[in-house]
Amino acid sequence: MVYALGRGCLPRILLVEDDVPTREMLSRRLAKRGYEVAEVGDGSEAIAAAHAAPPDIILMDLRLPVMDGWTAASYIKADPRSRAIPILALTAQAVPAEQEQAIAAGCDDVDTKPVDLARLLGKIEALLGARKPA
Amino acid sequence: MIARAPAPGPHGSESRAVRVLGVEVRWTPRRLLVLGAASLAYTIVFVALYRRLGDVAVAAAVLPIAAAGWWLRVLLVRVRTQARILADERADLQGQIARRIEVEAKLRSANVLISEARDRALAGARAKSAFLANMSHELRTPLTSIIGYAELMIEDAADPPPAGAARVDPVKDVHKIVEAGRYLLGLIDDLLDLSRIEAGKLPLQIAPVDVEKVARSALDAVRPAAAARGTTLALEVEPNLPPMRSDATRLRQILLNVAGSAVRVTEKGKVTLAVARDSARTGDWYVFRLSDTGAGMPPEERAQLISEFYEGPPVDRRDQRATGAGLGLAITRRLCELLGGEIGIESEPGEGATLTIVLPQEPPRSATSG
Repeated sequence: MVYALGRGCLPRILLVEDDVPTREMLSRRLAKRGYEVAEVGDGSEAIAAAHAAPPDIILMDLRLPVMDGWTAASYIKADPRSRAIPILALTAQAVPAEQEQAIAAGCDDVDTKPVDLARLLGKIEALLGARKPA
Repeated sequence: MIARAPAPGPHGSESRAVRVLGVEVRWTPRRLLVLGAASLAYTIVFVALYRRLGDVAVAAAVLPIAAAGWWLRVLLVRVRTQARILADERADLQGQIARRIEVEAKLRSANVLISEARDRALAGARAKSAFLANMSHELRTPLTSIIGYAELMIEDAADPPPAGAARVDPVKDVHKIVEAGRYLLGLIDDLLDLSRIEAGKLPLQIAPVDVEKVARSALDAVRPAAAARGTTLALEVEPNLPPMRSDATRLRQILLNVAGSAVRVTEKGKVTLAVARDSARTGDWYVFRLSDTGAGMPPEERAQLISEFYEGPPVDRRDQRATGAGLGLAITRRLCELLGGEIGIESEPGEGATLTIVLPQEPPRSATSG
């Protein structure tokens, strides 16, 4: 466990999820693994949060109210201020088309819900590692 | 035997068609000139010969003319016979063409029907697969909570958060699992209902129904959800409403679904269910109007919500009415049809919505036999 690390050292995750129980559950489980988690409930809040306090990675649900995850991802990737933040799309949709659309919208990887935490952590670490080669 | 044909030829006023013994001859200036020249030459030769030879010349001139005339008659008879045969064949061909045009028109309209049927089948198949994909999404959402909270509790038990960290009562986590489980059960019940309705295997129990009692019971069921949103519920029933003959369980299910969806989209507002006889229609009809002061919705979502090819909750979940409603409104539309009525929706973004359900006093016989 990484509790010993200072607050500033924790990798920051922006969790974008409209289903409150799912968001709370994921947030707590990620916090237990030593991540600092910020939560928002829709795509437009995600864009605002990505600019206000840029996280190290964004976990993005795709079906969201107000602005969906595909649109939010494409905005975040189009903006030079937030382009470098890796986005891991989270979808409850098992059909490949939705996942392909996520990649096309600029997401760096896709994982499915229900969450397999070991698999999800592997993908998060891979994206964080790719971002910071040092 | 010489008649002038009325129609001018392709050369316009320069040529005139003339019928000679049933054969059409076209006079052009050039042809007239040739004929005139030939007549003149013949006359000059004849006069010259007559001067030299007298009556012999006359006989010599007339004989070929008589022979030519006889030969011409034989020729004309043949031409006329041929023309009659050709006319018969032409009439026959025209008859065939007319028959073919008729057959072609029939084929064309059959083709239109086939392509319409194909479009309907394709739309149905597309809606079915979109429905399945959306259903899979809807089922996975509560499962994410169920599996996630169960795993979280295992993790917390094995590795409790440090003393300083905020602790969450495990009973609350169990409640999350129960809620998601109940939601999942509701979805599965809806799915079974929908498939029973589509297979025509949902039997109706037709009996006298106290409309006000059923309406009140449906509203009571959504009262806790309305209270949680600070929304008030109102029931307006026309006085002295005679009982319907219908299926009380299904009527309650219809009203519960529409009231539930109205409450879901209305924060600190009002949801009203008004029940009255529909005087605009002939026969005995009841109209149930469910109006809310919620967010309303754009026309395309409105149509999709109660359409025949309902695809389940929309992809981007902007439509909060359908979100969490599961299959409620798709079932409602089919139940209304089963009871012999229909459902309509009026809404503008920002101005709330009114769902109107019109049901007959008694369902048609065909509905009750299934």
